[in-house]
Amino acid sequence: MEEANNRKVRSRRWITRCLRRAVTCVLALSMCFCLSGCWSRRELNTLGFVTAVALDQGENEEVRVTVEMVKTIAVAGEQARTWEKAYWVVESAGRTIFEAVRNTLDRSTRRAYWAHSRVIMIGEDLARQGIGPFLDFFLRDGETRDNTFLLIARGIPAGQLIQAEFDADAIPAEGGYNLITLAKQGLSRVSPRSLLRIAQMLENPGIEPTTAGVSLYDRGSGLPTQMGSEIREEARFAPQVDSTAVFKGDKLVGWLDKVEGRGFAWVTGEISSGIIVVDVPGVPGAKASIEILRAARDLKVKMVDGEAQIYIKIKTTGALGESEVSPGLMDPHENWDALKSAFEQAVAGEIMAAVSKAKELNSDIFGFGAALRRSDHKTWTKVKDSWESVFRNAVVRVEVETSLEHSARALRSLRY
Amino acid sequence: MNGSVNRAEYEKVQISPWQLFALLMITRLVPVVIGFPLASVTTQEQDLWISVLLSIPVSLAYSLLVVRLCEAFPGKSLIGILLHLLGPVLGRFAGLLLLNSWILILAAMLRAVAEVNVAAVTPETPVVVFLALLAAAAVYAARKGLEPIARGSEIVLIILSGFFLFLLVLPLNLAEPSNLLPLLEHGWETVILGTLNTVSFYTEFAIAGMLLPHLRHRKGGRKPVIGAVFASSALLLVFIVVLIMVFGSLLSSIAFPAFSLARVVSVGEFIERTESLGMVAWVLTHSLKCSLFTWACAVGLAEVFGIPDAKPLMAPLGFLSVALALTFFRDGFELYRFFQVRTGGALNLGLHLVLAFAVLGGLAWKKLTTGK
Repeated sequence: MEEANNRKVRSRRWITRCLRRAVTCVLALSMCFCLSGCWSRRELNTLGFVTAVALDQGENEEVRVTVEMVKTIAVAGEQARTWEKAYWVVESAGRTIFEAVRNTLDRSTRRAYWAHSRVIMIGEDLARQGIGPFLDFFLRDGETRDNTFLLIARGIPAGQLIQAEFDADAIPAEGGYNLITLAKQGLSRVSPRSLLRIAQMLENPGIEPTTAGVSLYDRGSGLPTQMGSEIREEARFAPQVDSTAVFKGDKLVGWLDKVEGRGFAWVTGEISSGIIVVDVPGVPGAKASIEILRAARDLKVKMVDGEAQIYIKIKTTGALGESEVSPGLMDPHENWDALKSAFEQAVAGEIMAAVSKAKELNSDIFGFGAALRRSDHKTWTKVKDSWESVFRNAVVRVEVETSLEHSARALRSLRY
Repeated sequence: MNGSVNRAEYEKVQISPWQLFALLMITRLVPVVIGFPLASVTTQEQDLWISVLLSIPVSLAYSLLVVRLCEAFPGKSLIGILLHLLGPVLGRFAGLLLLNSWILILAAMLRAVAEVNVAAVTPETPVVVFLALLAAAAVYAARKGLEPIARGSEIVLIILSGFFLFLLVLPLNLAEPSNLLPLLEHGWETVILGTLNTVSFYTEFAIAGMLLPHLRHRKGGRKPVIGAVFASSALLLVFIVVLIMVFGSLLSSIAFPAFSLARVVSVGEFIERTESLGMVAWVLTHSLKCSLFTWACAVGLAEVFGIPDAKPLMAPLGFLSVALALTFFRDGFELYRFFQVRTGGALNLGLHLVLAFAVLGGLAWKKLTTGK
């Protein structure tokens, strides 16, 4: 009897153990179902990777949105069709950006995925009406990135501009991104801004927004319109970053040219490199190129008797990169000093050109007001309402201190 | 500790001072891993770092009061001390008020994780899925007792520290120090509001009153608690400075600053799109804090009602917290208001102020009547 009971208990224990193991196995296997993702999963083959977006004035007070997406079959894998255009665009319109973006779904087989977007391009017409209302979507959405470049298309619809192709880059937005980055680093004549920076400038008192302006240039009808094995008419027009868009509030009010653009960068401390061309001292008509190596600025704004007095001090180092003739730069040394002096005058000239243009456009793009607010917020509180006229009448003093570090590999130019 | 949290085991479980420090650090840092309630107190962001500095002495005083109480009544939890000092009726009432605030914090934490996931990452997943999963994990961990939670906190603190280190260093190329100026442009109102907001979060250190009875060394509670106040304040200070420098005036408009900060990281166009690390940090820290609060609430409720075993209370607490997360916070803005000192935070501060006075009054009364 006892033996039978023991057997019963042992078999019950065995069944319980087996059941436990079975339940554990089922639970463990059921975890596999979760590995594929969740409700919000998005498969790669259903997504369109947005690389650039353009906003233009549409009809009936609508916004026209052009979305540039990567054509994955043209760029990915061993079977990539390299002869294909590497991108495709979808256009739609709506009363708001979000509506316009969602409206692309009735023309697109892929859902736009924004996390890889490089550029937001806004058309000049729309920018003149104000960019403020169009930024909210990009700052709020979960996929868009705050460090995407926000640029203005000059003299051409933004939707057309983002389709302009580059010879070396298959995807226009990638080419555009490289172009902007290189132009900023190597020339310092444009100051492209991220979405985040523009939004900050719009909110901060005492500074007006700026960003790079992009236009198309005609490479000429005589040039081949060929990119790789593909011949397309669009390749005749190529983008260039050649100006700086100036805003007042959120409205575009004008442009800085290349010289003014670099003058602006000197004041805002955004100079990274660039070439300054000056006359060779003592040799009429001959030119020398000085490469900017480093630059620092100091900005002071004071109110004296109701007048803003602005002191801009620039300290920069350059190197002689080219000289058409040899003026004997080593001996006598005055020539070397004269070259430095010409460098100083060129920098001061660029700065004053930028200041004059900003005053003409009535836009404190340098943030002189913001500098006053930071250093003396009580005075700023008194003048902020009349800052527009104070800025127009501000006295700007520029002091430039230059040094020439070396003359590269040569001690003199060719004698001929 | 495997199994139920009955009275005997409750008294047996021991944690180290380092574990206490880790649990308190996580408790304080969880609210800033997703949102940063202090950042949206005002639109005068540049002064907020002063608030963090000013909150240190107040938070320290409050935390030391809790430590001193636990030292004066060895072996008793904060709820037990309230019952002892204020008597069975008033003590129970005070204990329930405290537990009520912890349950609301628990619900708010659940909702915060769900909110950020739904708002920014996985918009099509229902909120209730996140709430239920996190609550289930919290209940499971709480049923295992304090010891595994404390051990888990050691690992999670290392991950959290790594996350903060990464978050504070990598976005520095975007930092604009001029965003920190001008100081006190609009006077002290902003600073005081910010200070109250920060102190409101430090009242969560009352949870130390449930942990100190389990400390391995009875008198060793001061160092970890003081250390946690200073270390978390230092981290908050650096974090708010980095946030102000990177986002400037936009900071008060950003719903999830840490998440947004991780998204703007771009180092050499190589280290980018790092928000997934943020997700790891917020899921881990929130799970741990939810487990701790579930455990503390269950143990506290068991003490208030004289229930010998807290374990059966944990699952209902999980359900309650999910229900509260869905009904008490109907949307993200209600959650935001709950954390703001002008609304929910003021109630929380008021409650802790009243409790502190009640405890001090109770102590004085005991001294008067018993002479001890």
